[in-house]
Amino acid sequence: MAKVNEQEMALARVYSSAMWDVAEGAGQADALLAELSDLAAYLDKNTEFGAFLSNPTVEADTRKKLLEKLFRGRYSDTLVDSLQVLNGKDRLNLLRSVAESYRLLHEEHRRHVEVFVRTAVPLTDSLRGVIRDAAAKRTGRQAILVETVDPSVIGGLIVHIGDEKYDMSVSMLLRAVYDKLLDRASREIHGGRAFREGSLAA
Amino acid sequence: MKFKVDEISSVIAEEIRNYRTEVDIAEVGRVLEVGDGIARVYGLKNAMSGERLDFANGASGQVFNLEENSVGVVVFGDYLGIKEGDEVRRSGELLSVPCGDKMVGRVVDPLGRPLDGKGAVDTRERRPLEFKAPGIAQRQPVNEPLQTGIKAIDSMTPIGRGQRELIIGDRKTGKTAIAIDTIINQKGGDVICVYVAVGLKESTVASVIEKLRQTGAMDYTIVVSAGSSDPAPLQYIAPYAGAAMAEYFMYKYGRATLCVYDDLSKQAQSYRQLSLLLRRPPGREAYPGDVFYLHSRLLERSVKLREEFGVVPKDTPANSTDRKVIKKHPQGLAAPVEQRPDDDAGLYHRPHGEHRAKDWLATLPDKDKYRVHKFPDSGGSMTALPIIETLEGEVSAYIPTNVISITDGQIYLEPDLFFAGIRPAINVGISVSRVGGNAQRKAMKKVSGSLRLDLASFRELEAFAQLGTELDAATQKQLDRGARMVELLKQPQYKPFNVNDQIVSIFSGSRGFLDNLPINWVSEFEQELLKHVRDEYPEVVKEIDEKKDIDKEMEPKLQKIVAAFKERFLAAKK
Repeated sequence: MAKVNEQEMALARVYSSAMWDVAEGAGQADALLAELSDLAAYLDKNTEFGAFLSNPTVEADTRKKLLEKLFRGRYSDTLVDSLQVLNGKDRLNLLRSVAESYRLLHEEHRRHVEVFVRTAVPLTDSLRGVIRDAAAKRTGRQAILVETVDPSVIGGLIVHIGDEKYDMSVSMLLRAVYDKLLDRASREIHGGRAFREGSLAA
Repeated sequence: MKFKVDEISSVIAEEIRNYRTEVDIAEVGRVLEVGDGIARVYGLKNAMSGERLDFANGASGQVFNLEENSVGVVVFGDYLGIKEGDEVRRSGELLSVPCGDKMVGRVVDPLGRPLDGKGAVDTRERRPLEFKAPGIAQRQPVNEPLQTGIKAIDSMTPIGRGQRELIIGDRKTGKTAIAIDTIINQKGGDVICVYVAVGLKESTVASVIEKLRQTGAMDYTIVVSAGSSDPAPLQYIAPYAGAAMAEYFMYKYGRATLCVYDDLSKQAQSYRQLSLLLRRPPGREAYPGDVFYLHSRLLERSVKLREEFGVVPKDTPANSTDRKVIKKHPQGLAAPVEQRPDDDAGLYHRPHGEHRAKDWLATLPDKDKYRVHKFPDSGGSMTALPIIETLEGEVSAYIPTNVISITDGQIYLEPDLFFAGIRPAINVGISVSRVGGNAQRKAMKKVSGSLRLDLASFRELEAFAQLGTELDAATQKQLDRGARMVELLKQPQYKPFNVNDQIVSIFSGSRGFLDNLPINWVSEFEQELLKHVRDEYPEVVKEIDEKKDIDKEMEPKLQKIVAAFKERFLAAKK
């Protein structure tokens, strides 16, 4: 559910699938995902770094040196080399999309599915198991839970799997009752049967 | 009326008790970007083209573009309240509008929400906005007139029920006036009217509604308004919404309906705006490639539905639409021609269907137990009066040519005529009605037979006569006749003429009674003649109305009446 740009994603898919082939060959596909997510999270937090990477006035050579200095040794060689290739092709601005596209690719290959769970209080382990099982049964894939605690849910839980949303929250129930009452009142007023004294007894 | 707090709370308690705990399952996407009435939504992999979507702020939208990872959506209503990342739900249904008897007399927006401050429209019926036009088998040729009440139109470019007649002209030439007069003329008749205002000034719409109200036309009219200040998506769907509301009456009750689309050039412009914002490739005049389909699918929905008859048990209620009770001809489609049904279900729906059904019924041994039934949901019609505004009389621009080619004729209005005082400013030479002639009353056909050609040759001669050349008597006569006919066809706004009045009035002109009258007396002569005929000879008017023809007996009778009146009129003038 990250922000994506159609055209960027199309370009990014080429790079990410190449990265997947290299990493999977070296048995580092999972590790690379962790590193990329880490990098993506850093980019989301530090937009200036993203701006630096995509700024055309910065020379590719300068960036190349900086990337070596920053990441070599900290991240795996596969990732740093990939970054250098992106830099060489002037595609570092795609980094965020490459990370997202790699994640989707990883999900697809490993038959994983991300399940977003929103609850008012943190989940217990047994509940996690139940959700994971239910999601696995529904999608035929292994569920990776992404949990969010949100007091506005009030109670129950909201689960997102792919495009589908399963809302079992108290806030949804309250909203539904509110809508129904409003609808009923509006119909009765316009239908000429307002809330008169004793009208409900019948 | 008193409200009791505990009663209200008991209502709430009742609702809560009856509320079954259900999981709310929905397919949702997220807004990527929004602006100018357009949103791009990520996700919604299963969304259909044309499906309704619901935004978190209560606005609804329609899926327009299906792309690889996102969908392009047009937003109806408040797109400023939609934020990036908002949830968008699939509804699983196509866009629809409320319909029903209660819609009549109301002013609504293209989504059916009331604009007239009279509260919600209490109806549960809905019809899809986009509805496939009936095919060949469901139709019959146009054969019933739709009286516009305008002499120049009913005599020379007659409109039939189910026809699509374009009204085209520059700004300020009286296009809307013709449509409004036509609606007003349906008073007392059986036609339900829908006036769709697209991209008009709100003040214009307000004055139109006020006029309809004053003349009592709102009793049978629905106004759908998407003014120029409404977002483009609403303007784009307005004609379809109006058509859907009319279709309700046509398909459910077999009623005759009239839809005025005022105007389709504005609708095409709003569609162009949407298409360009959605990055669809522009074509001629920057309109998208499917702008022809935009209008053709709308106007194809105009139809004269076939009338369906069947032999049913005698106790079948008159409003029954159940085709299962039909008694089928034992020989089916192999029956003798004069009794043959038109399909396997035993329906009679082609020409003379009623006669064939009756013929067969007469041969039945137990014919007392059956009767011929006309299904009340058949035989309805939807007449369309689309309006197109041209620039500087340019009819060869993209949209005018498109709509001209789709419609069954056009009424062409000209500013020159308008300012010369000829109102309605119809250019008779290039206005045509391709199918309306079949629907015209015989009487009207007889009195106005050569009117169109006469007027056209008059215009030619008129230009020639301006050169100041000497004219022979025959030419001079033709000029005199033409000038008086032009004068006779002038008609003030909001004063539609009854068809019998039109016949008498055009009769007096085309039979030459006006030729030696000074031109400025023509209008007075006409008014007094009509009054005279109505007051003194109501039986003649009745006969014309019933026979719908001016036959050999009628012709001399009418000649005599008009001649006698003319003498009186001239005497009074002296």
